[in-house]
Amino acid sequence: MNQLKRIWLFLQTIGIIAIFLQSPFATASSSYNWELIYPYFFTQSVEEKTHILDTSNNLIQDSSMNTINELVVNLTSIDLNSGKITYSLTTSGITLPYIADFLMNDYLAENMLTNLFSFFYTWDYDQNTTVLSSFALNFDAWYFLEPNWPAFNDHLKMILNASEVIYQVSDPYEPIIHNITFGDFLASLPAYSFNGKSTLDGFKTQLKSTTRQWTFSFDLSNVLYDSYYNLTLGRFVFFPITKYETSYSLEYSKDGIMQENAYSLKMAFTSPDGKQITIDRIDKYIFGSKESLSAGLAILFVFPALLVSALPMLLKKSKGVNRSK
Amino acid sequence: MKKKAFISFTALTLMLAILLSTTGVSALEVSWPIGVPYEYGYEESYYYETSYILEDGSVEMKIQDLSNQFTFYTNITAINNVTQYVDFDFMSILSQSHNSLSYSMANYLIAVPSAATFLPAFTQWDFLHNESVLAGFDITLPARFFLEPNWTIFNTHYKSLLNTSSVLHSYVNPYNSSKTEVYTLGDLLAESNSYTIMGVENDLEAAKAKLTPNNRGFSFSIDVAGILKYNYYNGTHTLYISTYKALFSSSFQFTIDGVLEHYSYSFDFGINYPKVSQIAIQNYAYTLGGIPSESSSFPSLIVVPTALATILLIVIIRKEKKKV
Repeated sequence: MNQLKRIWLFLQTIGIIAIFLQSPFATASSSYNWELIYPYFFTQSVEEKTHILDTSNNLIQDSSMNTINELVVNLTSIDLNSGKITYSLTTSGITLPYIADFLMNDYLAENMLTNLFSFFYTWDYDQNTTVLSSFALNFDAWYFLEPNWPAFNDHLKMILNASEVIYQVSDPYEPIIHNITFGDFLASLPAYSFNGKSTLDGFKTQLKSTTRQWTFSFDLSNVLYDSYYNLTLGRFVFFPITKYETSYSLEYSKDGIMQENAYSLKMAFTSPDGKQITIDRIDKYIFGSKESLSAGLAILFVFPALLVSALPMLLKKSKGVNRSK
Repeated sequence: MKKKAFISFTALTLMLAILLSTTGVSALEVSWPIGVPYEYGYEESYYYETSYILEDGSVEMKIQDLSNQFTFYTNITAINNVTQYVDFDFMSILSQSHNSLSYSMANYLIAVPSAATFLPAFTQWDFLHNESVLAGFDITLPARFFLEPNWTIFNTHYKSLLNTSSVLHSYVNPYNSSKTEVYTLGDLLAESNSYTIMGVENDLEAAKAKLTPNNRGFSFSIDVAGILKYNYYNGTHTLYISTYKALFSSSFQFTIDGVLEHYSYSFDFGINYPKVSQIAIQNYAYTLGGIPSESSSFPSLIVVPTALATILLIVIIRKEKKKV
């Protein structure tokens, strides 16, 4: 009995240690190898190309903008108890001090579904339905984050809930409230892919406890609407954006240093006054000096490549349907 | 009869004198069509690179690279031969406007009375080295979309502008109030690394000779790297820091009937301040007929970069020789 008790106690201790090791606190106290004083370089860049063609008089305008800003971060202290770091950030030769959170729990608390995605739906009186009139994806990208990747991935699985209501629009004619869920939003899209997977469940099963890179691509073509105020009608008139492909990508190093926070947009539409407008834009925040900029570019084009491969499949499928008829 | 002949001769001379004089109001008939739009291409690009040397010796950099190009139309709606005003609509994707501007050559030339008006230079006293330095410079050639095609007057005037004794800037010497520090066109050309006027390199007289009555444009490029200096206060003194690159270039060309065919401006500039380095490159150009393809370009502008390349080679060769 005594020996059994001892073995039981030993097993309990191991169990507690194992639980303790897995907890975020344990990770926090054991694996920070961020170096104090060592200068960490981050680079922020924007590439934008705009093309406008006015077909009525054959006038064109082409603009491009490329900006690159290096930022130098020097960590000055890491406080494991308060979960705060202090650092100095130098940009344009000017150095300023900052205090920031780094604990995963603090980070995840700020990243719930409707913080991550911002949706705006409006009633369109011409189609007598709700239309998506604004969309954005905003991941927080902290320079330094507690490297608790199981917690991050579990959180993502939890918040990406298809049945969660993301927007409510009051019907202008009936006493009805139109509830739009995350699932409704996804179902309305011509295509989407999360980490290369074209379904929400596919994405969730792909998320591992070690996943440190997440890519969200959305094709909102003809789903997202822009509007203009029509003086005669006395209200906003909505028109679809014929091409709107956007991708967002976030990546951390194993030890919790932000590696890439990138956003891309390919957009094309015809304005109500007949101008054909094309906008291509890539915003990036990467770890490293400006020389590191070209390294992570591929991730943003996951989505267009997927679309290309999806097309032959669709063609094959439709042929099959015809034969069966 | 003799008296009559004399009178008509005098009248003719007077008329000719008026016609030829820069202030003569008498206008040449213009042949621009009303209601047929002229298409132009406008291109501009800006590149700025700033490097900050940090305390630990590492370098932090900012780059801005912007370019923009668009097509636009100038569409003449009315021409007044008496007042010499042309009314035209300007139309691009971003803006539309109605303009009424003088097209008279005399009026245009009044805008360029001297070399100082198209070569704004600024000189200052460097107290550390007790000398006058070129502390600011630019090229600002005036142009118009429509200009009375009186090329004889145009060329006579531009020839008169290329006068080496023409003062670009002057100020009173800080130590001797009776002494004026004068900076002339001749001083600028003499101390520049190289200059190209009317496509002719480092030869003012040959450049002037290009201003014949058939000529319908002007071009001026100058390399003032090392001569152009910018002031920098280091906490105790005002230092004049030399640019290591300072190339300015501008040109324009009209069609025979006085429609702007091409206008361009560019500068390429680099400087290393004690803790900050800057590179700035700016270009803009208007071209009649739309945005030109990559291959077509205006020959007068190419001269300077080639010249510079040759100079650089010479400098390198000379240095190599010295080493030996």
